[in-house]
Amino acid sequence: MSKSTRPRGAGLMLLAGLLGAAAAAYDYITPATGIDHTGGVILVLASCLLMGLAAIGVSAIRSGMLTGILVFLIFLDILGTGTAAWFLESELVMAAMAIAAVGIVRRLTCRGAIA
Amino acid sequence: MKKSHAPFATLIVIVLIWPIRGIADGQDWSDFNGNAMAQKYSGAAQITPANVKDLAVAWSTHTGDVSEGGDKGPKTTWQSTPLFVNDTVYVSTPFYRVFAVAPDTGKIKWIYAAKTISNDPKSVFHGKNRGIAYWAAANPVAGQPCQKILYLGTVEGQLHAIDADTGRLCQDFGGHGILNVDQWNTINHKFPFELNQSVAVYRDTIIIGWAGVDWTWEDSPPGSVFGVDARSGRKKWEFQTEPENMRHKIGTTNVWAAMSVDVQNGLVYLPVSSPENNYWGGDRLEDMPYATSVTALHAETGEVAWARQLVHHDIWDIDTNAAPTLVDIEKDGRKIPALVQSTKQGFVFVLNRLTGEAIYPIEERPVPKSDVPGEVAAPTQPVPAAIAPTTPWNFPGISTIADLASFGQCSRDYASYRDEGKFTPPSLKGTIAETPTTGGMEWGGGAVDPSTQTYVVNSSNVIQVYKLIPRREFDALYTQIGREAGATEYESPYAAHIYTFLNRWGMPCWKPPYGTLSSYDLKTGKLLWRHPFGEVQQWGFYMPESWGSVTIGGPVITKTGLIFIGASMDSRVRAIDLKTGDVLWKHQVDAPAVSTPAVYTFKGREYLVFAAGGNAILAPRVSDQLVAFALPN
Repeated sequence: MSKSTRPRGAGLMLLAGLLGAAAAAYDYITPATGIDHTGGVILVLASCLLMGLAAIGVSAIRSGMLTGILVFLIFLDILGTGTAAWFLESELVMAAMAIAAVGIVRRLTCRGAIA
Repeated sequence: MKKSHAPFATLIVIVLIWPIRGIADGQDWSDFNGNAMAQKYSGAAQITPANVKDLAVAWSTHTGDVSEGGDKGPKTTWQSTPLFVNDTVYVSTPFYRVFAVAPDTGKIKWIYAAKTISNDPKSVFHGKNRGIAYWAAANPVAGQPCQKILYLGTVEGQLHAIDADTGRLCQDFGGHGILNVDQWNTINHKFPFELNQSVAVYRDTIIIGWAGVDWTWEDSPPGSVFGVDARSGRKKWEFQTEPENMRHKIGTTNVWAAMSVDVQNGLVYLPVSSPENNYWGGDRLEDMPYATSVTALHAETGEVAWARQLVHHDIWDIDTNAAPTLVDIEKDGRKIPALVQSTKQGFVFVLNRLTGEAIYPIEERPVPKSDVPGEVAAPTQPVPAAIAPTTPWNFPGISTIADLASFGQCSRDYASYRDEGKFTPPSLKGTIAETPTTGGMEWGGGAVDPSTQTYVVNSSNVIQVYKLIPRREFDALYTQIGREAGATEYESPYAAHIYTFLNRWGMPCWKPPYGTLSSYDLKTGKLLWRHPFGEVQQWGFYMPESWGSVTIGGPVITKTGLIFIGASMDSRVRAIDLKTGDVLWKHQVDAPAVSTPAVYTFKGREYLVFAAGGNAILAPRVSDQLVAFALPN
């Protein structure tokens, strides 16, 4: 039986980044959100896309140190984006950050399962 | 067996009385402030604190009358309160059109479009239209037009009389349906009379005040109010707010806000504004008893019944700016016909509306002297002694965040200004104005529940800086930077630079809250509760609720103990528990609803309707959305 070689949690972080970006895009174009066409939403959109890119990097890069740096940056991204989403009162982006947080916890707690 | 005709007869009766029933259970909103007494109260009882959470959009429509700036002229400000009367929702727009809308669907029945210079993007006159008034003949003549009339004012002083059934002009009114009110603007015609506020209606008389161009000329048109025949527009009387010997040299002292009417006692109540120069009064040291006052006139004749000045020698531009709320209150076992006047200085005056006497004590409190040459500030100012003001007497303190973010700019600037509390006179070095022209309470005023005599009012806590500039110095500055220099106040030795106390990043330098909602028991004068109200946004981020928001537009109260209010800068409308002040429901609309909402019942269903138009001075978002809420069918 073969074991997965994908680092645990990276998929969730990628998913969270994409969901967060989609939610931010929705917030940006929908007047009923109350935060449409605002700089704060653009910031969150960008930070979610960066999270997605970093998650791809975590999956693709085999260097332990570089991966560690990326995971740390994702951690900071979750904190920053989550705080921004809190002040934007964007529940969808907050939910995406919760998924990302689960991803990072899996990443940090399931390292033994890799390979 | 004899056949019974009872079912058929019952059906006939139902068919015959159905229209009457429709009228009987339709709770109107026939006035800008709900009713002539400016109570902003609805007897509608379908929406309650228990079910308000289920409130949802019943219909939403866009008038198309909005400008984001550019080709269509400056950004629009829509502050209109819809009326519901004659089984129709009527609303006027910033482009001076009146929409007649079906109350249950939002479908447009007809549109009346006034021709006005304001609709020319190149015009220098772009007014605000806050609403329309409604009059109905006591004994309507069947088949005749204009038995029900809507009155729409324009920026150039034209009052349009529109048939409420058809949307056509009433030809018998003025000249073919339009009364030129500006024909009575005969002294110092620096600008036309701007009719942005709905007129007051007393039986067959309509009472007209006007707005103008503030802060520009000391010798602008002096204040006047006109009583005209509701059908013909014929002038019945005229009331001058200034002493005769001052009218040619001192302008405004006008009535730009809505008025209220005690139909039973035949009185109309005028909130009278401050005179020009707004910030230096050395040319008007004479007694001006009606300036910044609430004044009661006999509505049929225009004669003064009583007047009470609310600011002596006003040099802060703190106009009396809202229609006083009329309500009977029970105090010490007596029923007293009362008047509640909210003010820019954050005071709530409660007076006997028949005599003007104070129901709760008003003390004359000593206030600081002016240090500007030629100015003599009043030694005392009237202050309600028993009713807590909505804004603090003294500066609320420097905001730590704003001060840190600006590396101490707020503290340094504050130290350079004069500040001795409310009513510190404007000065050459700059004065902290705790009673700024922004208010405190604005033209939305308060609402009252007449059964419990609970009065609710929203208020802004804004700190401005008032700096007088000698004429020669100002003129040189104006040549360099134009209007940024400040209020020109031509023909006066002093101009003024008025600005909000912000740091270099635009953050308020004073401690929050920036806006509150307060509830008072009028039977005792006691404050029942006060909470920060609304939220402010920067780049989309909501600031803490404890900061509150600056507000424009007033609240309404319903029989079930609910307050409905837009007003805040976060583009949300809210329902609030009258007993506790807790927010029970909120909903996002397209722009700040800087207007007072209307509540009505049609075919057994209660509706709440907001004009969500925004105010570009305070928040960039503008819209043309008229949105109604109701419980699900």
